[in-house]
Amino acid sequence: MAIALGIDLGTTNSCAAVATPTGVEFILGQRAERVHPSVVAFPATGGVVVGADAKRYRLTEPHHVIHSAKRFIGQNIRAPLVQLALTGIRYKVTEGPNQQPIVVVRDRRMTMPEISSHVLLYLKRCAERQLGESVNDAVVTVPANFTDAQRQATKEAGRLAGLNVMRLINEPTAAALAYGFGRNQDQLICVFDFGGGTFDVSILRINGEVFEVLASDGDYFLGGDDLDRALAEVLAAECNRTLQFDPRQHPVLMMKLMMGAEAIKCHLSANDAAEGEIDGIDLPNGTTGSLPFSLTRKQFEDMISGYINRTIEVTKQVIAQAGLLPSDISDVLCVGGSTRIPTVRQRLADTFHREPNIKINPDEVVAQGAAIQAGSLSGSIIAGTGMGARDAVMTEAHSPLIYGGATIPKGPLARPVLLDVNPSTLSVQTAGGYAERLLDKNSPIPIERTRVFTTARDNQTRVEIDCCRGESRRYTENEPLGHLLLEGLPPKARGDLKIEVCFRVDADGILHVRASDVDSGARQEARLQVFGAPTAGEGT
Amino acid sequence: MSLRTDVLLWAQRVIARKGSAPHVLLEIDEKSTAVQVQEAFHKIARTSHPDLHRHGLTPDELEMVTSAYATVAGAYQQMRSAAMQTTRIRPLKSDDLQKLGAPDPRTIAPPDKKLASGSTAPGEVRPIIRDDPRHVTPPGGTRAGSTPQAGARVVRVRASTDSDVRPPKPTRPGAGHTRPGTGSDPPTNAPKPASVSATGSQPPTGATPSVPFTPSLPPQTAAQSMSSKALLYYRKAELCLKRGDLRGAVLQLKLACAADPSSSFLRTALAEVETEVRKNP
Repeated sequence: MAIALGIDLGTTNSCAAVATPTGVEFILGQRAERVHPSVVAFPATGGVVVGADAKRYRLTEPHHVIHSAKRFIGQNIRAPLVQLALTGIRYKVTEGPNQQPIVVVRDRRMTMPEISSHVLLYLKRCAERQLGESVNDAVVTVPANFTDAQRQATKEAGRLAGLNVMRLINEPTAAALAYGFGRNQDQLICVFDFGGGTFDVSILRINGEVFEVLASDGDYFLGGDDLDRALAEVLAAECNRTLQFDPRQHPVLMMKLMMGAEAIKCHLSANDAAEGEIDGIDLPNGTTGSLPFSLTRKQFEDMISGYINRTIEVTKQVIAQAGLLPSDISDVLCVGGSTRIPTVRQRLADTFHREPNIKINPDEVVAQGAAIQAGSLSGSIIAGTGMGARDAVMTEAHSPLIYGGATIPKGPLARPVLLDVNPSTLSVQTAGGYAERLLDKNSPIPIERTRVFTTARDNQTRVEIDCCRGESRRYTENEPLGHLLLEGLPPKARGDLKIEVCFRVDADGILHVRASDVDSGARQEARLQVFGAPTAGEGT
Repeated sequence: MSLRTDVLLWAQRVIARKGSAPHVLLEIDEKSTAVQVQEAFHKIARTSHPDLHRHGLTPDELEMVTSAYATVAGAYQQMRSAAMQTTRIRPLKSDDLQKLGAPDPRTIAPPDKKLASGSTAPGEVRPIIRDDPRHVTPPGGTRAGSTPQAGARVVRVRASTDSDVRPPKPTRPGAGHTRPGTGSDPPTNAPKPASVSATGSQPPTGATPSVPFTPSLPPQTAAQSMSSKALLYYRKAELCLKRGDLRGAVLQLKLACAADPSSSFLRTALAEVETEVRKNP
């Protein structure tokens, strides 16, 4: 049986795991670390360095260390949020074909999927060394609100790394799977995923082995990085005040302050105050100064309260979208490193009137869920991999049964069934600039919906079908996804021609659009061209 | 293996029924509750989710199962969103009544008491939840009944089933509905007591000739006890009452009495309103 890896490809850190009959085994790095920084360095000596080693180059060669690639993968570089994120990085990004961001390092031009593929390849090699077998299949997690292009770009990254990406699953769903698999209960849970670069909330109903996402929303430009940056800006201002020197123009110094900010943030999660010095600040007059700082937890919480308010606001919206009340939720899972911040947990407890679940490891639970799904899809033995196996009372369900091939036992611990949702409403543009909805936000995937449209003018022989995502009724207020062209239609009076448009979102959350002329004997079909996708030529 | 045949038979069944109503695809009753719909879909997912059959089926068969499952998922979403829109109710608050433009309770209290004792309106709560009060129109418009939400919902359902769809027209009158002013005006519709009583108790999506929210008088009683012309004036009087225009209401009620002198109901109503006018000059 082929080994299938579950990979949590994060903005700042990645984690990989594999399901074994006794539990989930995490893939270790060279220093036996379970969490690998998603950092790719191109040092002056040549070659490519990934992971914890690459992170060390941040100070010496900040222009050649690529981090937070997930923030740009599958994005249109002209989008305002992307432009904003570009101000926070030190490596060079330019615009490439199809408006995609291109990293320029040492005269090499690389797409974002290529950068991510280095991380995936590193994880694959670690896994092969640890397991002693070749690894070809993987399940990769993505934030729940990733767009079509971002999902395709992530798949492309897997392909470049030589991995067959069996499935993309959403991070909150993976966390819920790790939490609830084998628990055999009927409950409603909320997964609050506040990671390094993205933020997601999902409401799920766990009904035995069925994991149904009821609603999901989030913000892919909100994460621990933003908290670090907020703190680093304060430190920079402090530096400007005490040392009469503005470090904001100096990438190396800013990076140093960011690292200091991250350390202070982590320290303040466990302690009430942080006091110390940031050494090694090279001043313009040739000397090296140090920046003393003294922060209480309260001060830090005030600095980041805007970001935290936003997360709580989104959480409340999602609960409303699911048609529930906060009191209906029976457990709140904290996923992602940023949920270690005490104020985040406090705000969650206030919202739900119950303490969030902190028994899970926020960094590893997503990879664990991905590993369970990978094992399930590849037909491996996966009993006892979920946390339910640890928490629940032992029953016959947890005896070492073997589930192989297509023989699914009738017992209570069958394979998990994930009913994920598509994150936003998908529509087509109709005459007058309206967006006509085909698939609603939060509908279960895979899903298919067909609607019949007609022509707006007499003797129209070609129609252009523009697809967009977003909640607005006006097409232009939504995010364009791509368009397809149906040509060679028989000329008829307007309204006489029937054009069938079929939207299908597959289990990876990727949209496939098919348009055909109903009446003409030969069905004419066209396929969607996706904007911003890395493989523009191939379509979907 | 039987599991394999089961799922293939199911997929064939679904694909054969493609395009039929959602509850047919989910193989449940049309009037199922949201919980039943969810349970039915979970049951299907447990046996027929394509992920469970990755190793047992040929690629063509798997594609068929995936397509069938995706179709059923679409049906589930349709039923679920419909259920989400209809099942949510909340307790009625006093400011809801004010938003509805209901007249001051003191003004309508006398006729209300009198008639309510005779026949308690059965659908008294319903119009408050379903009707959008801001869209109450005078008794001429056939579009009066459809609230924006109801209209949008109707269009969405129509578009998926209808063949010649031009979706961005939200207010397309249905076939057989007459345009305002062309055919029947409401007064000629109104006199038949049977038709009024039928439309009065229906949800507002049909072409109801404006039976707006009538806080004081159940429409059946009113319609049965007077002639068509009197009913028209009576409706106008109701509108005046809603605006709080007591004098206008008196005028309209007087006209109504003139149109149908035999109606004791109208005379009572006129007397009640006139008393109110005298109380609050």
